[in-house]
Amino acid sequence: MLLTAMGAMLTLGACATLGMAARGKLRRRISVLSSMLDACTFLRAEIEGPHTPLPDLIEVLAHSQNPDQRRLFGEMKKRMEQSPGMSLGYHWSSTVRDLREELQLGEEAAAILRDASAFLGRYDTSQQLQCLSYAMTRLESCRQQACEAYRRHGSVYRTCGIAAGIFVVLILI
Amino acid sequence: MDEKSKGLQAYAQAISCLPPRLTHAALSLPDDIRLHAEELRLRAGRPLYWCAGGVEHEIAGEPIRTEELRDTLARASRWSVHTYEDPIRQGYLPLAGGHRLGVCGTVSMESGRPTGVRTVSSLCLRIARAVPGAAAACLEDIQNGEQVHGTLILSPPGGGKTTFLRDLIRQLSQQGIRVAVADERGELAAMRGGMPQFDLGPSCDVLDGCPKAVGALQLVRTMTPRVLALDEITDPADLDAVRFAANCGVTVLATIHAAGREELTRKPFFRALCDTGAFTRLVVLTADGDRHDSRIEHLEGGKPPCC
Repeated sequence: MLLTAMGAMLTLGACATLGMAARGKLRRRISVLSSMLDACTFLRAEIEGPHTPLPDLIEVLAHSQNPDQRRLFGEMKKRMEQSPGMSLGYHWSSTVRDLREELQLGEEAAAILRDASAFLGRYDTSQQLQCLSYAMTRLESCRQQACEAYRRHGSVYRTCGIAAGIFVVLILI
Repeated sequence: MDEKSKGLQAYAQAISCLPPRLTHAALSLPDDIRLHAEELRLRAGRPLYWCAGGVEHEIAGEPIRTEELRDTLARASRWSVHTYEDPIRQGYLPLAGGHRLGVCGTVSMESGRPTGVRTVSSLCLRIARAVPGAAAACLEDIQNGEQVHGTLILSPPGGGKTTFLRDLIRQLSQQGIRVAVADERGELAAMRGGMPQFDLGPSCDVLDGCPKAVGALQLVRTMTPRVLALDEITDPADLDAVRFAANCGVTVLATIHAAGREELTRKPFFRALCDTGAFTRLVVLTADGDRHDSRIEHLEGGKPPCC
């Protein structure tokens, strides 16, 4: 009897965890998109205001308190130091591509960020700000979609996980 | 480090802003050309050229693409074109080591003033080199014991004015004469981290990145120099700065663009400069191929006889 109860608890726990993990994934996506939007806001402010050079901005973001920004820009900074002959656009684009899955950026957001490599640091302030604003609008749209998905499916995943656990336990008993 | 190594190092530093393909082409030149090349010319749809003594020589290779010009500009600005908007608006980009990238292309305008370069069509990479002793032949005429004469150095573009002025500053500074330098384009001193990359001697104060006229006034007021050095004076505001310095008892050393004495005397700006009484010596630099020559003239009462 005790073994049956323990098995039932474990099965229920495992299914609930699966549901919670799926929900967490949706929440994580919102978080990473918000981090990238914050980074873009920072870049925009620094390009518009003090006209800070991009390598210096990447350095600042590499030491950010935000773990997603620290991971992405820290890796970018490392690559820039290792291969100074390659363009900043190349490092930007390849780092986003390589960390896309790890950061759970999603294909669309990664593509938006990679597109930014074509203009960042290469044009004058107004052109860069224009392009950056466009990229941010697209990222914000991705974030809103992620929020909507979380709102719609987050609770469903959690509930389904728990329900599936109960169902399996009932069948096994 | 010997002079040859220094020369090659300056060349390598200057070309570090080129994209890999063009860097490779520039490095394919033999050492003696790399030591004497004064400029590299990049034009869209044309091969790379090196230039010395005003003559351009082709470097065999594929024509340069517009994208490579944009890439060069981005590299030269440390991937931060927005940081260098002001100098780019004036048609150049200062590089580490005192080198300079001249920018030409389609200018974007806003409210009647240039805001940047939309499409880059050609670039001129000027390689800065220190030539110790470049001013030695004229020093005796410029300096009379403790007294330093106000001197105007003239030559056509690429004639070695900046190199001459830099060496003059170094030689005076080494004698303990306090020299202040308003280095607007960063070519005289090539400051990095507060240290000049060119030897300007121990008694030299450099204000760089600031318009000459503003910088000159600031230097005279705050650094109490005996000599003030200004590179490429062209603006009426520079004239006011020269006048101010001269009235404060500061000797002015300056360079100006002109093919020769005759051309200079035709310029109203020069006559106005003479009227300040700041200059009593005129150094005329001439270049014939790789050979540079200097001639010094005395300006009677601060004016050439024809003024």
